[in-house]
Amino acid sequence: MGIRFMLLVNKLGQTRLARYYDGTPTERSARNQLEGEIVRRCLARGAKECSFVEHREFKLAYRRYASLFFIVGCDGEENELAMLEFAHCAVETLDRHFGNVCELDIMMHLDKVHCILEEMVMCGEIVETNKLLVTQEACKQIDVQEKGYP
Amino acid sequence: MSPQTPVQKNKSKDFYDLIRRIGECKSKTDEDAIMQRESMLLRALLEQPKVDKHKIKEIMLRLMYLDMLGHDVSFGHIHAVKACVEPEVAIKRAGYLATTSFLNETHDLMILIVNTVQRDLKSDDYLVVCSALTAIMQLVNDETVPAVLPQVTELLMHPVAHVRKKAVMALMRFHQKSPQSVSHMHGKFREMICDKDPSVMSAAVCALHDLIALNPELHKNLTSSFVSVLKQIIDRRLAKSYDYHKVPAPFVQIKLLKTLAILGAHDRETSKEMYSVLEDTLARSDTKNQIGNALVYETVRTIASIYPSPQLLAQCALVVSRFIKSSNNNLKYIGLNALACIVNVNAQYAAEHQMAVVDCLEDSDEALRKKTLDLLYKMTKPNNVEVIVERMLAFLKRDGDKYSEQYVREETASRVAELSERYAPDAKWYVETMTELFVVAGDVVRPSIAQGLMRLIAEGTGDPAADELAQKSAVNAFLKLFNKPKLPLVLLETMAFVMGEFGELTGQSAKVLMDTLVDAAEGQAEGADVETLILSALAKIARRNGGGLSDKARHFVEMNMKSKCVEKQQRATEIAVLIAEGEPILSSVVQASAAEVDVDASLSSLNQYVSNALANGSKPYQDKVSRDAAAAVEAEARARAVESRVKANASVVRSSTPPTFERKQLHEPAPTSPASSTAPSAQKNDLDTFLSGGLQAHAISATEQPSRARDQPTEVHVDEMKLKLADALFGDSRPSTRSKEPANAFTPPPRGAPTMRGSTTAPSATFDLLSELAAPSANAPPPPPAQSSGDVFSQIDLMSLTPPKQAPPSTTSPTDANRSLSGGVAKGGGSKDPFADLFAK
Repeated sequence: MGIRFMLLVNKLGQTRLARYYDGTPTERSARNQLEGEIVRRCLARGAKECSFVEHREFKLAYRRYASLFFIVGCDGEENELAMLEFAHCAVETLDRHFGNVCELDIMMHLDKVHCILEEMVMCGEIVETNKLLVTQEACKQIDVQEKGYP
Repeated sequence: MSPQTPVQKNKSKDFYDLIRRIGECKSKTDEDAIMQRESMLLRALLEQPKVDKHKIKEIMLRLMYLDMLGHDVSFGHIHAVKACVEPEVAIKRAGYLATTSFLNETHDLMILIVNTVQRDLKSDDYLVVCSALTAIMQLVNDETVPAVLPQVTELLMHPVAHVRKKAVMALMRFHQKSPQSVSHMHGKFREMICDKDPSVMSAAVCALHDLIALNPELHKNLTSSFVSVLKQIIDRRLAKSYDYHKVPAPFVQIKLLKTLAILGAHDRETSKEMYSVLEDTLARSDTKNQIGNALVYETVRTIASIYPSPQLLAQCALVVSRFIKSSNNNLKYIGLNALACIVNVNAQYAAEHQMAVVDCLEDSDEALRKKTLDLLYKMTKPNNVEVIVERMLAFLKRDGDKYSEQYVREETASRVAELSERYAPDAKWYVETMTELFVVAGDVVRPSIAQGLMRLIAEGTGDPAADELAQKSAVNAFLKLFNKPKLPLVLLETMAFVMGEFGELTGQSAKVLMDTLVDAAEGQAEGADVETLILSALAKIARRNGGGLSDKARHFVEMNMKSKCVEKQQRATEIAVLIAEGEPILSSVVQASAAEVDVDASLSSLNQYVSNALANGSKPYQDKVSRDAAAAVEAEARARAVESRVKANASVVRSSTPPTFERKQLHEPAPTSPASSTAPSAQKNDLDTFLSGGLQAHAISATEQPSRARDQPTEVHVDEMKLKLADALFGDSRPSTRSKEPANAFTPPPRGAPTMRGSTTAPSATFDLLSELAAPSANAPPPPPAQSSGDVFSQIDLMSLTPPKQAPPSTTSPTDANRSLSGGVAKGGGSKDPFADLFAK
């Protein structure tokens, strides 16, 4: 229900972040194939074309941020524009946390990015979009993860 | 704690190397090479007997990288699970993160996780609890739900809002996986809407949306709460931090709108409650930014789903206009979506946007084109079906080759078929359209569609003139199509069939037709079905041609006579033989399949044969019912005889534990008094088991037979089995032979025991029983026993049925709702704001 997966892919098609929720193939090869198809599809589209694509039973909403494509895959009933905006919200939250987030940040701190996204999307539903709360909570968790308890 | 390396944070040099290399590599093969190396490194690290605990975190991260880039990390799964068990929070969290990425709910290691999770849910440290909850959300399946449900339910009261929020979502997940396990908890969900923390409240809204989607009726009384919450959000009662681009909590609003859409569907009363808040939402939306537009779009969708309100719909139409006319492709896209929603309610809205829609059809953006097709599909009516179908076919032709677009092609092809069938103006058009469809998208068309088409062409629609026209155009079109190099199989089959039936309508000579068919068979792709159809078609053409085959055709037939495929061989041989026989026979045998074939169901032509046989002393045929009834009556009689004998020996006989326990329950009053004779009834049940072939009788007994009337199992192999059993048991009178029996089957009284009376007669009596049962009786029985046993059957069935499950008590929910909405009791009577404390910031 809702979001099925979130992908961050760079211009060359390399995956930088992948989160899958219910309703997607669980087997590795199927997932790889799905990812490949989606990435090819989105990257091949022109800049003026709309940001929504239908792929198999999913609807994809994607947007390009500098060198990265943020792709949100949702099921057929979702509000595509809202999904697109959610992608933007997620990027803004990451930006707030890392300060001018770039691809390298995401690669270096993959676990933190996962932390943040975990707070925002649960079970494929958008639960928290309050950037302040998300970053506060994520910071707490990340601190503990990095340094442990004093 | 962990030793800090001089480099930033506490990751090793290896890690940074890895990142650097991944970042620099330019091709997939490079990346694969790097990951292979990484995989080996990690394997080596993990195989060491004592892995440094602090390294584990990093190893987990690197494993995640490996997994993300598509490589196998199964060697790391167990280590991830082990990391979850670590007491140190940092390692534990890393472990949980890795586990949720790698594993899924069907994985074998799930069991280990469940234990860990159960412990962690009780932890004092709320971060640990959070990780555990997150893990559950990803990994739980319907079997593990009960293990964690109680703990999670308790966490709904946890002091920390984040924990409550995750607990609510976890419960939602449980509901998705196994609805009945949380069916008693609907009240809890409703309570959580009233939570002080807005995040928890929005999580509860998500969860309730799921519940409501499943069963709207139960929750209609929540409408007013949702409306109230939505109103308060729009009135900006939430903290500023919940704003996104100046729109208050848009995603929560969207969720609420979706929920209201479900609640209000087809329900006038409920919808009325929503009209004002929907109007407000539309009015206050900020259309300058995208999220405002998203909100408006969702509102339009909601308005279109609920009971229609004219002024709201008029506003929707305005909104849709704006979207479609905008220059932003995204807005056009959702405008088309929105239009599709409204069109379902009132078709005229589409009319004013015709031109815009037509423009979108030609747009360079394929997503828009596809969306427009969706819209057209929803808008199809008899007066525009031709145009729309033509458009769809054009789409198939043009966009058919995009990557992995099978899904879309199939969908479009089936839509074309559906629309053509539903709205076709006449047969000719239908045939033409379907032909075109087969040409363009024959590989995704379902064979049943082809069958339907063939039948339509052959049988016609009842109007001879139209049919003739349709058939003529079909064959003419097909004749031309034969020249095409590559045709889908389903089309070829249709063409072959139609050619055979109506080939002469083209005006071509039979020879040309036959040659074309043979060329097609040889030139096109291999397909046994096609060739068999072509053979039949050749025969039909030959018949009209006066019995001759063209040379090519003859050669083709001869070749197929030697074919390995039996079907082809048979047809070819038949054709050859029939043609050799000459024209009259050929024409009488080979008929157009559309011609009426009279089937004489009574097979009256065989009457003479039957009466001859009867006169010679054969037994007349009895149908199954009377056979069974006859056998039942006899079996009954014999059972009574046996029973009386068995009762006589009751004291000596041991009663085995009956496997047919249910049969005992179903045991309807025996002919003799049941209360006194439990032992004989046990015996009788065992006898039942035995007589029905020693099969697992309880499987069939529940609905089948009363103990009195025994149906003769009519399958031959059961008969044989019984005979074999009989031989085994009674051929040798030693009790030891009984060991060959299936366990717990009938144990005949031990022979040769001095206390047994008439024991010598008993075996023979039962033996006779069996032998009698094995052969059908010749005498026709009176029918009534069938009826009475029928009544008995129905009695048995009633007794065997368990009482239907009680419907879940819904009476508690209204009271819960009333309780939870403290202050607001009746619907809409809330002068006191139930959510005042929620938004008091």
